[in-house]
Amino acid sequence: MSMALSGPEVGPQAEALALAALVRDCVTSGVERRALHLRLSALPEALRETRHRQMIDEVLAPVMRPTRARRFELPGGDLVIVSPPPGQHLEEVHAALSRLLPEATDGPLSTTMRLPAEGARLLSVVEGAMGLVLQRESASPTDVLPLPSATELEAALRALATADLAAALRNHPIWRLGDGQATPTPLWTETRVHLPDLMERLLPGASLAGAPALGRLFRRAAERRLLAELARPQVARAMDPACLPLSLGSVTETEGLRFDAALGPAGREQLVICVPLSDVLADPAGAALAARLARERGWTLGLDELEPWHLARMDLRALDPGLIRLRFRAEWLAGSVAERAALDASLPRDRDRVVLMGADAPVAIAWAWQRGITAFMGKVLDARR
Amino acid sequence: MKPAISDVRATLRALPPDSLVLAMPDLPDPMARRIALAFLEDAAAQGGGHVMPWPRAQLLLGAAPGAAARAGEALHRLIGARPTTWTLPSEAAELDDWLDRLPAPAPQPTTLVALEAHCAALPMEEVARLTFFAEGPDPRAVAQRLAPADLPLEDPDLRAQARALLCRRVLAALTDPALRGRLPAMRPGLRLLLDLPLAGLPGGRMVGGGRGGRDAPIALLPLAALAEPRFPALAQGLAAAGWHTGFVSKDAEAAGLLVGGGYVLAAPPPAAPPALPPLGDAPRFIALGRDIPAWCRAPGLLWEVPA
Repeated sequence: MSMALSGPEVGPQAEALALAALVRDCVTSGVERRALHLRLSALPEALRETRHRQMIDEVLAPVMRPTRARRFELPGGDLVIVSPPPGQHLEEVHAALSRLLPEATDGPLSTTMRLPAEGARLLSVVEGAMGLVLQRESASPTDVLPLPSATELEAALRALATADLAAALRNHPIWRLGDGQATPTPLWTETRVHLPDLMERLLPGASLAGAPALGRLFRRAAERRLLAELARPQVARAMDPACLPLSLGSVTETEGLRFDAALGPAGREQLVICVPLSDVLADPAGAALAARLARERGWTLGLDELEPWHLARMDLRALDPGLIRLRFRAEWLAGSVAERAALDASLPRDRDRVVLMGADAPVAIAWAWQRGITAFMGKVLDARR
Repeated sequence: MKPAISDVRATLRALPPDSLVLAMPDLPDPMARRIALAFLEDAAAQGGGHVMPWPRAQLLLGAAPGAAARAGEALHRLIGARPTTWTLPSEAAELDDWLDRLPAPAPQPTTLVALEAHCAALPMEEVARLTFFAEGPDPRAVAQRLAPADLPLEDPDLRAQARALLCRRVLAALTDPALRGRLPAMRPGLRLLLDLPLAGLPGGRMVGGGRGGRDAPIALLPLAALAEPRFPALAQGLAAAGWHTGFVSKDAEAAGLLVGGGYVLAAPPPAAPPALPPLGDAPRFIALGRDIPAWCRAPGLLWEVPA
C-alpha cells in the first residue's frame, strides 16, 4: 500500500510515514504487534532538556537491544516503540516511565496499544503528529448570517427554476476497498448540487441554517432543476451507476418521477437515492411512501447524513434503507472504551450497507475495516486511483 | 390554463367507442397525486392513450387494459388508492355523474410571501388551538396542549414553516399581558403541553418548568428536531428548566421510528408500536386526533379527548 504523500526520506516526518505504513500493514495482514506511545510532546518545557531525554533513553535501552522492537520518533517529539508480542518488556518500560514521568492533565503520557486491534488509535496519533489532524467541526460562519426575507427567498426559488447549475454540480466517486486491498473499485458516482455555491450566488449574505423548512424548499428547487436535466433521454440513458443525495420531497416531485421513468428498469437497478434523516423525521409518511416507491420501481433508497447517535435512537426497520451513509468523525477514535463500544453497537449489523463518507485520512479506513465497512467516499481513496 | 369541466366532457365524448378511461380523483397528498400521475403516464407510454391532468382528477383516456390494470395494482400498493375504470360510451352517464360529484380543490397559499402574510395577519384568536388529553382508561382531561393552528397546507415544508411562524406568535402572546387574554383560556390544574419552534426560543431559554415529575410541562418539538446538531443542547436546557421534551409528527409512521426515551405525538397507528419506551414520569406516547385506537388508553399514555 502506498500513500499519496511525499516527504523527506529521513527524519521524524519519514519515520511517521514508516510507522503509518507499518500500522496499516498490521491491520491489513492481522499480524499482532504491541506498541508503546510516549507522549513526550506533552511534557512541560522544564522537562524537555537533553538530560531528561537521556534518562528516558536509558530506560528504553534494554527494550531495544534484545528484541526486534522498532523505535519511531515522530514530529513534535513523541516516541513510539513497536515490538512483536508478547511485549512484556514494553509493559515493564511503561510501568517504569509512568512512575518517572509527571502526570498530565489531558491523559497519560505513556500508553500501550495492541495492534491490529487499536490500529486506528495509533494511526490517529501518527496523523496528529504529522499535522494531519482531521478537521473538527467548528461553528460554521453561515450560522450567524441572517435569514433572507420571504421576498428574497422567493425570488431565489424562481431564479433556480432556470438557473444553470453546471458550476454548482459536484461529482465524487464512491469506492469499494475491501480489507487488505490496495486498489479501490468504483461503486457509484455521487452527483449533488453544492448548495453553498448556489446560496452564495442567489442569496449572498444570507443563510437558511436557522429555518430547516426553508432550507428544504431551497434544496428542492435546486434539485428539481438537476432532475429535469438528468431526465433528458440522452442523459438518463448514458448514466453510470449513480448515487444521488436528494431531499425527500425531490424524490416524488414531478421532475424526480420523470427521471425515474427516463432511466428505465436497467438504469433504476443501479441507482441509489440517499435522503437526509431530518427529511424522514419531518415527513415520516412521505418517507414510507418513498421506500415503497423504491421497491416498486427497483432503485435503492438510502439514508444520508446519519450520525451514530441517530442510529441509537432510531428504529429504521420499517424503512429498511438499502444504504446508510455515515460521515467519519475523528472524535470516534478519541472516546473512552465505553463510548467506542456504544458507537460500534449502534452501527447497522449489515455492514455491506454502510458507506463511510469523509474518508480523508488512512485512519478512517483502518477504523472502517475493523468494523467490516468497505465502502468509502473520500480523498484517500481518490488519491489511490 | 387548466381545462374546465366542459372541456373534459367534450374530450371524453370525442373518444372512439369502447375506450377505457382511468380516473384518479384529486388526492389530498401532493406526493401521492404526483405518483398517481406518473403511473398513469407510464401506462400511457406502455399501452397507449393520453393523460389529462385536471385540477379535480387525473384521467388516462384510451388506456390499454393490461397497462391500466398494472398501473392500478401498483398504485394500490403504493398509495392505497386505485383509479376507477370506465368504458365509454356505455358508462358515459356514470362517469358524468362521478365528475360532477368531485369537489373543487381547496385554494392553497402557494408562495412564501403569501404564507408569511397569512400567518402574520391571522387574528390572535385563530393562531392557537387548545386541546385536551386524558391518561389511561379514565377519560377525564389531565393535560392540555397549546398548539399553533394547523393550516391545511399540502406542502410539508410550507406546513413546517407555518408551524414555526405561528409557534413564535403563540410564544410572544404568552409573554405579553395585552395579548395573553386573546389566547384560548387554559384550565388551571392541567398539565401543560406547549408546542415550540425549533429555532428562536424567546431569550434562548425556558423557565417556569416547576420541579419535574409527572406534572412537569412538556415542550413539543417537531420530530425533525432530533436530527439537528443543536438538539442535545436544546433538550438539556429544557430539562434543566424542568420541562420534558416530546416530539410532534402528524404521521402514524412516526411512532415506529423512535427507540428509547422521548415520545411522539402523532396520529396513532392501529396497533401499538413495538418500541414504546419504559414507563417513567413522561408519558410514553401522546395520541393525537379523534379516532383513538384502544391501545392508547393504557396507563402512561395520553390521548386526545373532546373539550
